Amino acid sequence: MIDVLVIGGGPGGLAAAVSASKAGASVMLLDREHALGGILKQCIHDGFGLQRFHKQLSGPSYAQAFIDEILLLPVDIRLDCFVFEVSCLEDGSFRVLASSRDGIIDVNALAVVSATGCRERTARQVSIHGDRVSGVFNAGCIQNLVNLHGYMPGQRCAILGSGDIGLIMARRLTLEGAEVVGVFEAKKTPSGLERNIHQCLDDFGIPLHLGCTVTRTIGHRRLEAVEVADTDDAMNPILSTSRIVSVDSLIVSVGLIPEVELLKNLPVKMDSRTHGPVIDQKGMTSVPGLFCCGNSSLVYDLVDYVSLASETAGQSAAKWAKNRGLARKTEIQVHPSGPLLFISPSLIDMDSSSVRFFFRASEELEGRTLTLCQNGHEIFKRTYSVLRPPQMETFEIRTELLDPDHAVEASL
Amino acid sequence: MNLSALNRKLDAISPGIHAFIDDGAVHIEGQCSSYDDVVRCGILAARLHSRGVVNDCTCADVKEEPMRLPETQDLSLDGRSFDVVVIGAGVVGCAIAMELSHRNLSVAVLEKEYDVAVRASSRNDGMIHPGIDLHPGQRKTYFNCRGNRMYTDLSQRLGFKFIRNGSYVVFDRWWNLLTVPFFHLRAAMCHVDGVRYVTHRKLGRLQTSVASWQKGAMFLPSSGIVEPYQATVAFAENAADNKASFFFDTAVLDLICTDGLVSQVITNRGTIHALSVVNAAGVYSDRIAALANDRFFTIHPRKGTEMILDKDAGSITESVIAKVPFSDVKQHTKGGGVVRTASGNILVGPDAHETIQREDDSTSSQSITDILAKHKATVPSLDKRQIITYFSGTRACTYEEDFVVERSTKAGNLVHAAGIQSPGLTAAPAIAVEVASDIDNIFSDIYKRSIKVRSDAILTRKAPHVVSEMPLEQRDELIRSNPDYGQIVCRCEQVSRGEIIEVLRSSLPVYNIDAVKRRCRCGMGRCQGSFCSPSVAGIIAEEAHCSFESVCKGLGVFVKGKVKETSR
Repeated sequence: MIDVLVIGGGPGGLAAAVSASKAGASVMLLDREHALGGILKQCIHDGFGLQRFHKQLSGPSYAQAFIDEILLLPVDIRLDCFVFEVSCLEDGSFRVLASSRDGIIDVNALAVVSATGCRERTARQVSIHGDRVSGVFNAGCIQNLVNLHGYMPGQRCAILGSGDIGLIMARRLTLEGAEVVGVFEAKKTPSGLERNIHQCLDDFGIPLHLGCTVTRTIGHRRLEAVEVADTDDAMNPILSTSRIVSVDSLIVSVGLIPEVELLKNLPVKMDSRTHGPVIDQKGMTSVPGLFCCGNSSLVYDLVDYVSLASETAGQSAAKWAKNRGLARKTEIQVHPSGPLLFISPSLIDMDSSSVRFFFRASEELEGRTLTLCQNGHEIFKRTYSVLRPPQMETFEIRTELLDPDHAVEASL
Repeated sequence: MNLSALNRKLDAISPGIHAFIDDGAVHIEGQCSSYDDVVRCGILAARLHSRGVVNDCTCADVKEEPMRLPETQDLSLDGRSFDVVVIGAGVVGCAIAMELSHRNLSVAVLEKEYDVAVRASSRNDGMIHPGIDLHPGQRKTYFNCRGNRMYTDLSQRLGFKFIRNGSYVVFDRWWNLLTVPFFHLRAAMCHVDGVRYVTHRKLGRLQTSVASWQKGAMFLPSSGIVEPYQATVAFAENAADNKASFFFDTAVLDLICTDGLVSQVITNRGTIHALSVVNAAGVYSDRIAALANDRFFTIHPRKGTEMILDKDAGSITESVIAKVPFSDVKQHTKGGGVVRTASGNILVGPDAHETIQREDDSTSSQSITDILAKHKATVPSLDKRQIITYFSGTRACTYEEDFVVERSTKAGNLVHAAGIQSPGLTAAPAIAVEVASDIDNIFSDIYKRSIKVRSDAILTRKAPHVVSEMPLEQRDELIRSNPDYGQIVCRCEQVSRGEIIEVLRSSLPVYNIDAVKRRCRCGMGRCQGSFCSPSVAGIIAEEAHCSFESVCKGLGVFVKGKVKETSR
């Protein structure tokens, strides 16, 4: 029986495994790929680690810091190992089944940390129609092809969606000699971080078309053109404005969704705002002993926060394994209201000295105040000069301020 | 209706449209203002109940695009000769090729696309229809009924998934219940077994996702489901196992007839000599018939769109939920439905729209919205957000709305398997039996050669491995014998490297990302290949001994060249 089994060797899984091991637990880490680092392996741009390491690192360098650390710890790391089932056993422990090149791995663990990352919404999910041709990609797929395999999607690219990966790939493709004809964003405000708009688009003269979307793909063998149109306030295309843009590839970067497939056959409560499971500040889900962290719990803006939250999850999983059977004593619900895309955690475990909250606004706001109240009583209040959906905000409060008998109302 | 009445009515649609009878078929000519009118004229002409309708009307509003031809131009097939040349590798062509390959005949299949089942044969809902909504006298009813009964044995012998999950035709008005006796009568006339009425209360228990205000349903237990491309691949691979030759990227450009027989088949890859020819060319089957001077029907393509929902929505139904077709009586579709596919997704659709473009597989958001709205009336829990993909295809319809399965009267060694629209997938194995017997007759009549099933014909095909569906011990054992089966490449559908290599080493390998997808489902899940397509392309390049840049996804290359050379 393993104490803590970590699924995923990206930034979330690495941080969780390191902290669980340091806390004295026996740890096994399973990753589906051939090398540790997760998606960071293909993020060769810099900008990682400003919060944590106070310097700008590339994705692989950021991951390497954790890989160096984990290799010194007694963590049983298995690569090329795909977990396909997690089930709860009667005694409250877990059975994890994985497929590896050495056969089926069938292990039991007292605690499981799921750190399976997130995936991208596809062109189909944003209802792109027209001819079915080769040449339409997700931004992450292009990042993989260009940065890890050395292949180009095309020489004249359009990018749909102003998500960070799309912006970063716009720059990357330009540097590799492709022409990026523009980034098209159906919303009136960009979805990516402001610094990426400046560093990836403005610095390279790539036009950003806000309030404009791709409506149709055109081509026979491979993509030859896309039809774009301006959007109305409900983000529906205005057909009278449609025009044809000749491109040989379309790169779609329209949002990330936590990958929670493994949790689906467990009685895990889901959070409709984060699209991940309901978790407390330690990352524990509604199934005792099952933790979820990183982008598979909610989509973060910075990897530094992923590491931070995942370390807590790893430590808590180790503690859970040590004192097995001790359920959450007192928990408080957090109810969001107002233009909050989400606030996490949505559950507070009182058996802890503090709670770190992460939230995103659902629209661009100026001079708004976030307040936490219990039973009409104000506990926390912070005013933000500007809030933008791409940027996550975080703050920490002490649990001693909280009344264990009342839910927390979070309003913006 | 007689010819002069038809001519009067045609003139009312568009002045100058003229009909005449030639060789038993009604021909119509003239200029219409719109393509819709061209179709209306054709439908009208079909009411003459002649041998067929040849619609030569033109229209001003849209122009038909020329047939999409392969880029290949060579002479690699020049001078080859075969006993039978089958034109078209859809489900019908492949089923025919399989049937013929069991005989003492040399068989070639010519397909202008890069794989089998590229067009309508993979762009349908996979239903093995019970056939209750067909007209008792039609050829399609005859073939559907026989084909339906053949699928159980075929799926077991050829190792493809077939589930006889039954279908519910749901009544949405109380007056619909009056038609229950009519259903039973139809069932008896069309030889549909086991049809029974399910009360509103029982329906609610059996199919919890059906709207509670529905008024009961007819249950058709003989209805089933396959993955249509996998069934087609199974037919084709069995044909290939029996030495049938498949030539992809090979389009038929002309047929040379001498002494009332097709003697030569001209393609973009040279001239092939054929003792007999089968026309299974789908939406182009009228054009192939015309090349043999045998014009007695016209194909008017009818486009259908369907959508696939995430496997999370799979709990909606275990079977098929269709609306009673009364409201769509004018539309030539079975009305579509909510179908649980053989792989566990929910499929919704199709709709039906006439189009002049024979190869139009583009989709539109309007179709998706309409289809969803229509079926939400029966299954309210259908959710647009659960759509993972959608696709369209064109049905090869004649104006008689029936199949053309017969020996040509103009070219004695040509057999038509034409105008095969829904329920062509169900009917294909039965059509194949019929066409093979026509070929037998051609050889005995014309060439005085007796054709029989070879004693060494291979009648079975080993089902490809599907590791995610294997019991743990077996899966473990398989991985230990070949570690590639342990390495998962497609995370959504959990397809291993071993399964991908297996399809690339089959008797009919097709080195294309989409061909691999149709065979083992990698890239068919919720991420639609975002994660796995680079790995799949890499495996294809390894297996085909080609460069990564030359690997195609469908008709187009997957990537376009390398990144800049880095200076060292």
